[in-house]
Amino acid sequence: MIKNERVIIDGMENVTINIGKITTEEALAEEEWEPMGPTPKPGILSLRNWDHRLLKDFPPFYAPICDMCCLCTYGKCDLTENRKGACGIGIEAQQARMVLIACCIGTAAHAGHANHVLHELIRWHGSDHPIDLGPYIDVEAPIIRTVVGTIPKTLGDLEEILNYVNQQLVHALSSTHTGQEGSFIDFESKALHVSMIDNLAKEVADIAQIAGFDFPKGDPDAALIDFGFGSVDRTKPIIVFIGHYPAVSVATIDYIEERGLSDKIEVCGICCTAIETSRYSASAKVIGPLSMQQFFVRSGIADVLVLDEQCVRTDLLEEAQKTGAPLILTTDKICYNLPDVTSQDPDKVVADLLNGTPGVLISDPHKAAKVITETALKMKPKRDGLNHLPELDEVQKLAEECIKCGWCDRACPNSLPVKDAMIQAKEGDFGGLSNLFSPCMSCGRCESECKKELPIISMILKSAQEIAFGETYTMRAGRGPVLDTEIRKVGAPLVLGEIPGIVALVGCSNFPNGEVEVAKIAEEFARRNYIVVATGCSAMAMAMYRCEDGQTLYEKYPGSFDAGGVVNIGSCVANAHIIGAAIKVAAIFARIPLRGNFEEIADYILNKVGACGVAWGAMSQKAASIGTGTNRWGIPVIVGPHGSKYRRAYISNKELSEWELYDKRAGKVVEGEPAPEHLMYPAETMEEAIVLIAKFCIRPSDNAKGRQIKLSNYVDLHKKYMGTLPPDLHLFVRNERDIPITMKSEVMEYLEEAGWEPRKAIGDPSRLVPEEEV
Amino acid sequence: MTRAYQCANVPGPHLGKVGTPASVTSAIKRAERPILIVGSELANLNWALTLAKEQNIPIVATAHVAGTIAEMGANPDRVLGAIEITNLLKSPEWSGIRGEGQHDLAIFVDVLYYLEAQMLSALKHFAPHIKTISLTKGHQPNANQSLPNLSKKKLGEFLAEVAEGLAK
Repeated sequence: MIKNERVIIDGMENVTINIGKITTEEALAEEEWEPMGPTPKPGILSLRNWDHRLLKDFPPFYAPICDMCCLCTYGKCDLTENRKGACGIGIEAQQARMVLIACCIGTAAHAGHANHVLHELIRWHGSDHPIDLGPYIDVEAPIIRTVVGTIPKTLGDLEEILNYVNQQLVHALSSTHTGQEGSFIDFESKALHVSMIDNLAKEVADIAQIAGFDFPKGDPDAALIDFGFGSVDRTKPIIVFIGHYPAVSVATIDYIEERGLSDKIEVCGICCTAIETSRYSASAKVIGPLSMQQFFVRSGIADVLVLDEQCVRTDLLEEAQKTGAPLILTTDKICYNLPDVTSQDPDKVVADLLNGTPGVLISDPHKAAKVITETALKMKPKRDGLNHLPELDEVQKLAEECIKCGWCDRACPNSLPVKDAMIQAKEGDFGGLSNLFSPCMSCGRCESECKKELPIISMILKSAQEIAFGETYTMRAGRGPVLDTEIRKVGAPLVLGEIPGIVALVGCSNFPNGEVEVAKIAEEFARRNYIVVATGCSAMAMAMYRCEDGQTLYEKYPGSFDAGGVVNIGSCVANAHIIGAAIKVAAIFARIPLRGNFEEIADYILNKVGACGVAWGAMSQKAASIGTGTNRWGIPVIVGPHGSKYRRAYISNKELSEWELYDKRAGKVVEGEPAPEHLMYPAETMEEAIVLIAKFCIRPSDNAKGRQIKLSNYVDLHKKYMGTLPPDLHLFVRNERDIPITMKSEVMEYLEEAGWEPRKAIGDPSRLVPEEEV
Repeated sequence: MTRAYQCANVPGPHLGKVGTPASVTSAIKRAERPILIVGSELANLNWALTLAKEQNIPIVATAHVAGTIAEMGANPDRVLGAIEITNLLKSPEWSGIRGEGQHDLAIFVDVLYYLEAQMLSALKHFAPHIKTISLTKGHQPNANQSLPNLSKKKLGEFLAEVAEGLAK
């Protein structure tokens, strides 16, 4: 009987049954795909033991960039010579706390992106919009599977994951408040945790983008995109997108195509929005990485500048006004005190912009698309004939004002020889200024310091105009995830060492010597049959280079995830797929369950997957969280020398460390090897980094053939750049079978001198000792 | 007051001294187990190699400097990354390059300025057992003693004076 919306069973009128949750068939299927592992949706404490194990082998090394803490009103507190701050904090914990804050900022930037793009796409397509990564990807969300323990089927499913991301971020950040955590090791554990959450947020963001924008689904033959200043057709109206969030550029391309204007407008991008846009449309042009931002804006080529979020200069309103290009802001991250005109009639907004309004904020991508396109079409004729850079004779006159104080050199992050270039330019020789174009990151600190207020960036660009505008390169569009079929092919050779490693070039463009070094690193390893993958600014930097035969790296090497491939995975958020590829080796090749099983997967990667991250131009807090998260998965990362300013490295002390591993096959703790030797290491030069990359790809699981291949590369590169055999070679030769055949006599001679003794290779190496054996 | 070469490189309330040729010479003479760390700028490599040889100071080549030294027909005592050698110098139990005990003076020449600033900071905070001298171009406030900001010519003269003082 049904009465007052209650079901009453005869004879049980006084019995109440509460139903907690109705299980649907779909939910049952979800439960069955894999048994749930030990740590689904881990909290800050869940993986603490793993972090402490990692930090035992790779303890934090701190190099404070500031001796004080200035975060509360007790301060400033001097933390030198074992002094404590007013809250009781010491210098090591304070460094770790600052690292955690940086990682929280980085995670928030990616999670903000993920929240933003997911909610926009749900608005476009509905929360039931399916996630389909194509026929060649069954393990479509390896990070989500491993960390959260679910398989997202729709955009709506990703929302629940972001709720978890947001919650963990709040907990991690809250622990940095004055007067709580006092242990640097536990601050580091929290940094590792929140950075793993960063990786998760990036995977959510990119899966949402692939599903919602129909980006390539792991296509090794993704289109070759025109790249560089020279690729832009300056006879057309030019729209330039800067940032990371692609909803507006995608909506703009749709608007342009719907109106049949595709041949009449140039859509270009700088930084990750450029990569994202090229994933949507092969006709979009990529100007370059972040380092090109100030140069390109100064060139005045853009008829409309559109900013979204992350890694965007904070003074672009001022810079845009100098060139007369209207500025359109499109997210809440950048507002520049400009009016929010989202609710206004787009035609009126266009008219205002044409009449001199310097910029507006429009948070609706479709409305923004209309304003951007119509403004560009009408602005172009008004801006034609304007000259935004000084002529060469004007450059000379400006240089004549230089008082040779040298503060430009001292303000430059790379101490580039600006003063000498100015002295040359005074004499009409612009070679010095032109030579600065490649290594200069266009940060403009020299200009800020200049007593004569010389427009040094503009002077460099003008002097280098033939280099800057004369060349068109190509970059393969970001392909997205690695295919399961590719993992099946490379899984075994990677774990056994026969493919010597995955070299992942990621992160920003604060390079010590310009973009060319990233390309050279990529070329060195692609030639040696490593798998070279790239994302973000590094993927773009690699495009700005021609090999000896005149081809770009993307033209010369295949885009497949295979030995000798050069693979553009995509933007910053797409680099989740690189970690995803390592996870998929464990899942597909070794058949280790992923679901809620973080420790076992990370342990597998650390000991068996020869991968090395390289963030050669690491600059941002995002790069801090990217790198630290990558570390928690067991992948070592090399940063450029500027990375030392992150204050912390994770390094072993090879002359003092004892390397112990657990051999799962033998069931006992055994003598290990420093493979990898460090987990986060700032290298001083490209050459040093190249040698380290080869070394950091060595893993205890290598078979004899694999170890020979890896050592052959390590020895060869050490000899090439250092002139000698590696001084630590004996640490990596387990027995004579490991020695590369062609190097046998010289290596044996060295080993005898070093007092080397053979040892057994470890059957099944792990850092997880079963509890009963601890 | 001498400002750091990279002018925002201001670490805090405790700054090192601006060295003179005499004070640098005296510190090197006083040291029992000095170590010379040579970095990738390669501006004064010859001077550093000569100093190491004449004063019998062990030399560590960072980055890929060992390759350049090898081309010059010499060999450093050890090849280590900049952060690796800093880490070793931090550890009181490390027995030093020649196994004679932890070093009591680290002399830096030609390391990348901002990387050297971080190395010196690490030693300032975590290696009270060791003094530091920076002879890399540009003032380093984290070193116990560092060069003033000198032109290339003046820097050469400074180093020559140090070498002369040590030879006496």
